[in-house]
Formats: sequence, structure tokens, C-alpha cells
Amino acid sequence: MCENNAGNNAAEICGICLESMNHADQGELLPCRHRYHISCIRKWHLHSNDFKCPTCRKESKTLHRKHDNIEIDLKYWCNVSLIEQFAKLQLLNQEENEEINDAEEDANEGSEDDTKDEEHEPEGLLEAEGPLQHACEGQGIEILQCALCGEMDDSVTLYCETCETLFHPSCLSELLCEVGEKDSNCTECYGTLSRLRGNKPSSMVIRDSNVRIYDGRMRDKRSILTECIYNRFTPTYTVSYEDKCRIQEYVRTELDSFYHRGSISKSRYITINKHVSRKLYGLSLDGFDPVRINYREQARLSIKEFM
Amino acid sequence: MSRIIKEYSGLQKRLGTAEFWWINSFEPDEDDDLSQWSCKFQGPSNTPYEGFELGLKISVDLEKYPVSGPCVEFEPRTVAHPNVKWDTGEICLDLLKDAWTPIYTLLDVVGAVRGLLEEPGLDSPLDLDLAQIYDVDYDAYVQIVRYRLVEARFDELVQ
Repeated sequence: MCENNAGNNAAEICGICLESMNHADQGELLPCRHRYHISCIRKWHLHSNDFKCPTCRKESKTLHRKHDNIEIDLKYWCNVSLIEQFAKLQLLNQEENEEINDAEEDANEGSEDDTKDEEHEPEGLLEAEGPLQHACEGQGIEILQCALCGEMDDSVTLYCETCETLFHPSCLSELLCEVGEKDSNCTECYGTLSRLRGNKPSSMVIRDSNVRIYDGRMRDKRSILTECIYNRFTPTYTVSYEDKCRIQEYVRTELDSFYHRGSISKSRYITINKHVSRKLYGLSLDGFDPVRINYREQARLSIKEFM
Repeated sequence: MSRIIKEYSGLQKRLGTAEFWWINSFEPDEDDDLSQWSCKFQGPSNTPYEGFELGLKISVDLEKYPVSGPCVEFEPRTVAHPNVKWDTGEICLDLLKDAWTPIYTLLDVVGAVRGLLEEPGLDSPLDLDLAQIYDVDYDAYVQIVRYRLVEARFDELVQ
């Protein structure tokens, strides 16, 4: 049917545009593992209104960028709060790198190694193009996609405050002109549109492979796993995951003092923590309520019972 | 836009292969306009279309291709077929509508149309009468199809 297939590595062709793909702009759909240009497959998804693979018609969940090991949850691609988080993380990473570089430079002027060279390269661009854009050069995820034309470039500057769909202002005004309307609202939910704030990034990089997008938020990989496991086994208490975390905080604070004094062992710590926490969950069946329940006091009393 | 150019440049080579022996010609109407294509191919063997050359007109929306598929019609003459509208040459083929994905090429489309001639989709016919005849009396169906083809060929000769 089609001449290219996902298997071979040398000069792989994108089945959508028939151009060859290099490593940086290649995306692999999971679970079917078919590969396309990221911009090509996104254009198709936008048109088909689902996340099916053009080759095998299997519904995809994530788009994987192999060279930097980033997995993008397709469902949450066009999401402004996500983009802002990306931007923040990017800035943090960048500052850290700069600090490291400066330190390295001071310490050993003479010795040059490969990693250092790589870190230095984007710095030049940084000065030329502003804080966020340097990261995009060659390796960034282009994450701003116009919901009307499907292009991913840095002139996508409008977003809906309600559903966070993104638009080119030019695409939107063209559409409004066509349908003869004057007020511009979101085409998806009729929500109010806003301009992306300030120095908006044209694309972003997550360097940390432990970071994943889950449920529309950036999360640590392990915390996602914990929540998934937690959700799979229906809890005996009707206390939410977040409330449990807060309760555990109290128990841990109280227990830590014993632990640091060396009066209990690690395994003892875990057992007590488990039992006391469960007891406190039992008190909080109507939800976490620090006004009604003195968690600190309850935790201390319960721990004493166990000692 | 550039995708169609890529296809065009690879097309002649693929036409030379044994896989596409049944295609007599396949090219754009004008060299500088890749939005209109004509394809002439031989009717598949063991079908009433055997021995006749059939023509397809393929229109490509260059702005939207390959995200949107091409429009394909039988032209210059239409054929009698359960999934073809007799007066317009319109083809009812899922690949050209909901089942289109950008992975298909124009050659795949022509191949799919030929497949349809070999095996009509009787669940969703455009020509209900012909589909009924195909089901009930296959010999009569063959006669009708061949009569129409000969008739069209005769008309062409007269003109």
C-alpha cells in the first residue's frame, strides 16, 4: 500500500508528506509505533478529529520524541496552563545550567569536555533571541498549535480562557469575516479569548525525563505511578488522595521526632505511620477538616499508644 | 503542495513496475497544474469490465491534500456498477470519504477503484437496481454492464 514503513532507520520517509525525517522532528505514535513528522501527524489529528494513526487506524495515546525521550499526551497538547508550566520549567533549567557552566568555567578553565560544549551552544542564541526561544532551536517541542489551520509557529497568540484552545489571530479574523460576525469568541466553546502573556515561548524542552504530563499537569513520574496504583485499588476509606497526603504530613512530622532521636527503627517507623494514618483517615470520612479535628494532637496520641 | 510534487516524481518509476501493469497512462492534464489528473487503465480480468479501457478523472485540492483525499470520477465515460452513479460517474468508495488517511497516494486510490470493480460493495450501493440484479441474476448483470460499455465505445467512435 505505501512504500515506506516504520521499521527501517536509514533515511526514513514521513508517510504524510513523503519527505525524509531527521531525528529532531520525528515523532512516534504509541502504542502502534508508526513514525511521522510531528507537524504532519498533528495536522492530520486536527483534521480527523481523533488520534488515530493514518497507517493502522489505531487510536494513539501519546506521541514520543525519541531523541530527547519526551512523551506528549495527545489529549492535553493544546493547553495554555501546560505551556506556562513548560515555560517556567524551561527557565529554571536554563538558570541552573548557566550556574553550572559559570562554576565549571571558574574551576577548570583549561579542560574542555563535550557536555560543556553542548551546554554553551544555546547560550549564544539566548542573547540573540530572548530567554525562551534559544531552547527551541533544533530540539524544542513546538507546542502552540492553531486550532483552525493546524500550523505550529510563534504567531499563535490567542487562547480561549475556558477550554484553552489556541488560535492564530489572523485565522480567527478570517473565519469571522467569512461567517459575517464581529465579536470574536472561541470556536469550540464560545468562551472569551485572551492574548498569551508577555514573552510567550514558541516551543519548549523538558530536559528531565522523570517529568511526565498526567491529567493535564506536569508531574513527577513516580507520583503518577503512585496515583495510578492507588486509583486501581478502590480505597476502603472515602478520603481523597490529596487529603490522605495532608494527613500523612501530620503523622510524619510527629513521628520524625522519635525517629531522629533514634528511639525507633525504620521498619517500626513505617508500621506506626501506616496504622496511625489509617486511624486518622477514619476520623476524616467527611473530608479533611483541620478546624474540627486537631490532627497534630490525634497523631501524637495515637503514636503514643503504639510506642 | 510539495507532497503532490513528490508523488508525481515517483509516479513514473512506480508505473514501470509489474505491480501496475494494468495502468495504461496516469498523468496530470497540464504539466504546470497538478490539481487535475487523468488515468487510463484496463478493466480487471474475470469481470465484465475485462477488455475495456476505463478512464478516471482525479481532482486534488492542492491546499488540503493529503489531509483531504482527492475526488475521483469515471470519465470520459461512466460505467455501470453498483457503487457508481450512472449519470455522473460518481464513485461510492469508503477510502475516498471517511476512511481516507494521508498515507494513501493517488496510485493507491486508483488501485482501490479497480478493487471495487472486481468486488462491488453491495452493502452501500449507489445504483440500487443494478445491485439487486447483481444479487439475483449475475449473468444479466454482466450483460447490462457489457452492453453499456460497448454502447459508450460506439458513441465515442461516432464522435
